Amino acid sequence: MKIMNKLLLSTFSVFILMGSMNPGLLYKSYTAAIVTKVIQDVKHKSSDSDWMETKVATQLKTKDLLSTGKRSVAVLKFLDGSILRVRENTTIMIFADKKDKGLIKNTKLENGKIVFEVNKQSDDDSFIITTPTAVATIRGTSGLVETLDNGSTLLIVETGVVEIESTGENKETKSVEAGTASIINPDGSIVSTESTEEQKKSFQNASKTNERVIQIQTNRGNFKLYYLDSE
Amino acid sequence: MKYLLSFAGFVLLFYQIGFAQFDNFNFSTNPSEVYENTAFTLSVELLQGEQVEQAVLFYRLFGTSEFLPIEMIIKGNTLISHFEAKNVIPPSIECYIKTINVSGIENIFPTLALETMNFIRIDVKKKIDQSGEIIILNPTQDEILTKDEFFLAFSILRLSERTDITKTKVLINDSDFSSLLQISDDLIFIPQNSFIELNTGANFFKILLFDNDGKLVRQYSSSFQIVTREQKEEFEKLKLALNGSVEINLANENLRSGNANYNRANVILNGNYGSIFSTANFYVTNEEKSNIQPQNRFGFQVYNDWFKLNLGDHFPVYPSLILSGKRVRGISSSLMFGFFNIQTTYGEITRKIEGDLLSVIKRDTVVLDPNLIPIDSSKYGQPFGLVRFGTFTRKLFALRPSFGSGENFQLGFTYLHSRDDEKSVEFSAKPKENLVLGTDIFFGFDQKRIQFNFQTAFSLMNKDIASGNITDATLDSLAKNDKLGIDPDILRKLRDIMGSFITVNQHLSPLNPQELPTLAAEGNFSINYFGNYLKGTYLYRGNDYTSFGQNYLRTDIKGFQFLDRISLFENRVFLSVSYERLNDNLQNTKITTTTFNNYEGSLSLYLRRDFPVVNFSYSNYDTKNDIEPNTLDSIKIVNIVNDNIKVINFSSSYDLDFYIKHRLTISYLNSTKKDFTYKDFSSSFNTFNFSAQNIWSSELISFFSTNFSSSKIKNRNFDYFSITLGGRLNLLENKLNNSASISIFTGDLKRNVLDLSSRYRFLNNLSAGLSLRFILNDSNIKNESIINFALRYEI
Repeated sequence: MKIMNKLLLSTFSVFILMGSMNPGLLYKSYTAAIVTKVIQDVKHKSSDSDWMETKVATQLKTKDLLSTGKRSVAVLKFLDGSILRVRENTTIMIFADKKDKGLIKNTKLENGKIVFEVNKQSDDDSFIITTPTAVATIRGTSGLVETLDNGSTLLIVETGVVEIESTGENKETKSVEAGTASIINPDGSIVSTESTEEQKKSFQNASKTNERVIQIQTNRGNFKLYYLDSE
Repeated sequence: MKYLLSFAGFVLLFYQIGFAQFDNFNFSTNPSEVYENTAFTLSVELLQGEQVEQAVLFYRLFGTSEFLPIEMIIKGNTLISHFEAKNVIPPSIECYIKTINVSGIENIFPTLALETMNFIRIDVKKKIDQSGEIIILNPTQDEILTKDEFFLAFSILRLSERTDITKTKVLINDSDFSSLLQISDDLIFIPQNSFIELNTGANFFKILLFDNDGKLVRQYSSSFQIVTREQKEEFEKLKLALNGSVEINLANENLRSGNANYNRANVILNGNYGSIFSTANFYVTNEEKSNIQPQNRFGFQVYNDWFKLNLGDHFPVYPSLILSGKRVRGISSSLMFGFFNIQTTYGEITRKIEGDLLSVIKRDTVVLDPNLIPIDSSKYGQPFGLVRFGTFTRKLFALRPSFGSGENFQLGFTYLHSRDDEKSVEFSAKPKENLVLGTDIFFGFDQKRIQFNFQTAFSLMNKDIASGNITDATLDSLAKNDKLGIDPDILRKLRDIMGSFITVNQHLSPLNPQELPTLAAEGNFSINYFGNYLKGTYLYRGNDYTSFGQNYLRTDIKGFQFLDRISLFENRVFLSVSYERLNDNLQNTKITTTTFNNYEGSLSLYLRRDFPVVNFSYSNYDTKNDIEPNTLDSIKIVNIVNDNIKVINFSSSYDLDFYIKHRLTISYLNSTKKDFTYKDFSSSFNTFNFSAQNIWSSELISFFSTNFSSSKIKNRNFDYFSITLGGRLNLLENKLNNSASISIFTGDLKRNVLDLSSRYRFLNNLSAGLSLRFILNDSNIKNESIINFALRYEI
C-alpha cells in the first residue's frame, strides 16, 4: 500500500511539475478569441479534430491551430479586444487562459507573419508571442513579428515597448521600443536597429486587411477577383 | 442610431442643465461624465443677451491655485472650450469665465466667483481599469458591413460576477434577438446570417445586463452601417469616408438689455482617405462686425500619423509658457518623424479695429491727454487729434523643432515672434512687439510611470515700436554723455544684431536683465506606481515675462507644488492631498512680498456599484504679506494682505431602483473668506443642491432639482432659493422629442424660467427643433424671452 501511495504521489508530483513547466498542459479548453475577418484560404484545427475551413465568427480555443494559405489573411480578436492579423502562409497556435478579470495570451508563431495590436491591458493581462527563436512580451501596443527563412525572427515595434528574450545558446534579453526593428537569431543574439523605411512600409501593408475586387466581364458572364489591397 | 445618440445627448444636456444652472448661465460637458485623461468639451450657455466679443475660460487643476486660460469658441450665446486629455485630472477641475462684450465691459461667470470661490466645478472620475465592462468585439463602432458579414460578438471577460449572463438581452434596432445568443466561456455572440431585419444605412444595437435578481445593472449601445456589396466595394475602392452635419439656427432674444435676432449656420465635415483624416468647420453668424473681434469661424484640418496641417481658426499647442489656448487665424503645420519633429504657426491673433477721431486739436491748444495722438494734418487740417484707440492687427509666428518622439524623450526649442502692424489702423498708439525664446525637455521611463518635464522661456517686449529702431545719433549721444559707458560701435552692432529679431529702442524690456524679470521656468517630476501618483513642481515667472501667445499667464510668482493621489482598496477609494507655497515680488518691484500657502485634500468613494458615489474635498488658502498690521506707513497699510479662505465641498450621486430607476444627486459647497486686515473684505458663500431624475421608460423621464444659495460679502447678503420641475417625452417612435421645465426662483433673485423644447425628425438625417425660454422677472424688471429654431441635416 505504501508503495502504491508513493507511486500515486510521484505521479501526481510529476504532473504538477510538468504543469508548472508548461502551463499549456494545464490549460482548460478556454475560448480565447473569435475570427472577425477571413480572406481566401484560412483553416483551423483543434487538438481533437482535423483541419477545418475557418469562417467569420469561428471561435478559437486554447491550443487551437490556425493556418493561412497563399494571399490569405485572418483577423482574430482576443476576448480582451486585442487584435492579431495573421498574414499569408502563416501558422499559429493559441494559448490563453483567464486570470481574475485578465487574459493571459501566448501565441506561438510556427512560421509566417503576424501583426499585433494590443488593447489596453489590465494588471492581470499579459500578451506573449513565442517564435522558434524568441519569446516576446508585448507591453503595448502595435507591431509585427515574422519568422524569416534563415530561422531568425524579425520584430518591428510600431508603438509601445516589447520585451524580447532569445531562446538560442547565447540567450539575450532586450527591451525594444517604438520605431525599432530587431532580428533575433537562432544563436540567441539580438540585433536592434532603427526601423528602415522598407520595414515601416512592410508593417503598414501587413496592417491592411481590406479586400479589393476586380470585376471582369466576359461573354460567359461577370467574374470578380478578390485580392488584398496591400498586394 | 445617430439620432438616438443625439437624443441621448439632448437628454443629458437637459439633465446637466437641470443640475448645473447658475443664476445667469447653464453649463454642460460632452460627454456628460468626465473621466481622467479623457478629453471633453465644456459648453456654457449665457442667459444674458449681451454680445460677447471675447471669452476666456480660466481653469484650475487640483493642487494648484493658479487658473490657466483657454480662449473659448463663441457660438452666439454659447461658449465652448475643449479640454485636452492631459489636463483632465481627478478629482475635479474648477473654472470660471471672463467675457468681454462689444462695449468692452468685462463679466465674470459665475458672478463673484473669485470672491465666493463658487466656481464651475467639473468632477473628474477615476478610470477603473475597465473592470466590470464588456468588450465589444464585433461590429466596431460605425463599421460598414454588408448584411452577410454582420455578426455580433462581445466579451464578458472583465465583467463583475454579480451579473447573471443568462439574463442578457440584445436589442437590434429595438427588436429583441436575445434568443439567438450563444455563450462560449466569456464570449457571447450571435452568428452570421441570423438577421433579416437589418436596415440599409444606420443600425444600432443595445446590450442589457442584469444581476441575479433581474435588475438592470448595465447597458451598452453602439451602431453600425449596412451597405450593399456593391456599395462596400465602391467604398473600399475609394477608401473615402465622409460625414458631418449642417445646422442652421435662428434665434430671437427679447431681453432687458434689448431685442436682437441671431442667424447662425454651422457646417462640420469629417472625412478620411485611408489613413489621412480631415475636418472642416465653418460657422457664420450675423453677429460678425468689423468693429469687434471675429465671430465667424473657419477651420480646416488634415492629419495623419506624422503630419498635421491647420488652416483658418485654430488653437495651436506649444509649451504652455509660450503659446497655448490662443486662437490663431492662419496656418499651422507639424511634421512628426519621431527622431525629429517640427511645428510652425503663422497667423493673426488680433484683428484690426479702426479707432475714432473724436476731435482735432490745434498745435497751440495741445493738452496733456493719453488719447491725444499726432494725425495727418493734410487730411484733417490740424496736427493732433483726440481719439478712441483702435486695435492693431497683431500677427504671430512660432516655430518649434524638437528631437525625440515624446514616448521616452523629447527636447524642443521654441521661437515666437509677434508684432502689431502699426499701419493697420489710423487712430491708435503704441504698437507692440514681442519675442520669446524657449526650450523644453521631457524624459519618461517605464511607460511614462516616471516623468520629468522642464520648460523655460525668456521674453523680450517692446511696448512702443512706432519710432522704430534707436538711431545712430541717439546712440552717439548716449555714448558721448557716457551714460552707458559702452563704445557706440558695440551698441550699434548690438542694435543691428538684435534689430533683426525685435525693434530695439528705449521701450524694449527687460531693462534690468540681470534680475531675470522676463524669465519663466517650470519643472515637474512625477512617479506613478502601485496606485500612488506623486508629483512635485517648481515654477518661476519673472514679473515682466510676456508672451503674446499666452496673455493670461500669472507672472511675478515662484514656488513649489506637491501632489499625491492614492488609489486604495482596489480603486474604490481615492485620496488626494496637495500643498503649494508661492510668493511674488521676485524683482522687488512691489513694496512688499506676498506669500501664498495653500493645501487641499479630497476623498472619493466608489465603494460598490449599488452604493452612492461620494466626493468630499477641503481646501485652505492662506495669503499674507509682510506688512505689519500696525504700521504707520500710509502706502504700506493700503497694500496689506492677510486673509484665509476655506472651502468645503461635498457631493454624492446614487442610482436608486425603486419601482423605476432614479438618479439622485446631492451637493453642498461652503466657502468662507476671512480678511484679518482693517479692510475686512470677509465673505461667505453656501450653496446646496438636490436633484432627482426619474426614468419611467425610455420615452418618459421626469426631473426635479432644488438649489439654495446664500452669499455674504462685506455684510451684504444675497440669498435665493430655486426649484426646477420638468420632464421629457418621446413620441411617434422617438421621432418627436419634447421637453418642458419650469424653474422658480425666490429670495433676492426673483424670477421664473419656463423652458419648452421640441424636436422632430423628418428623416433619418434631417431634424428640426424649436425651443422657447420665458423669463418672468420681478415686477419692476421687464420679462424676457428667447426663441430658437434649429434645422439639422447630417451627412
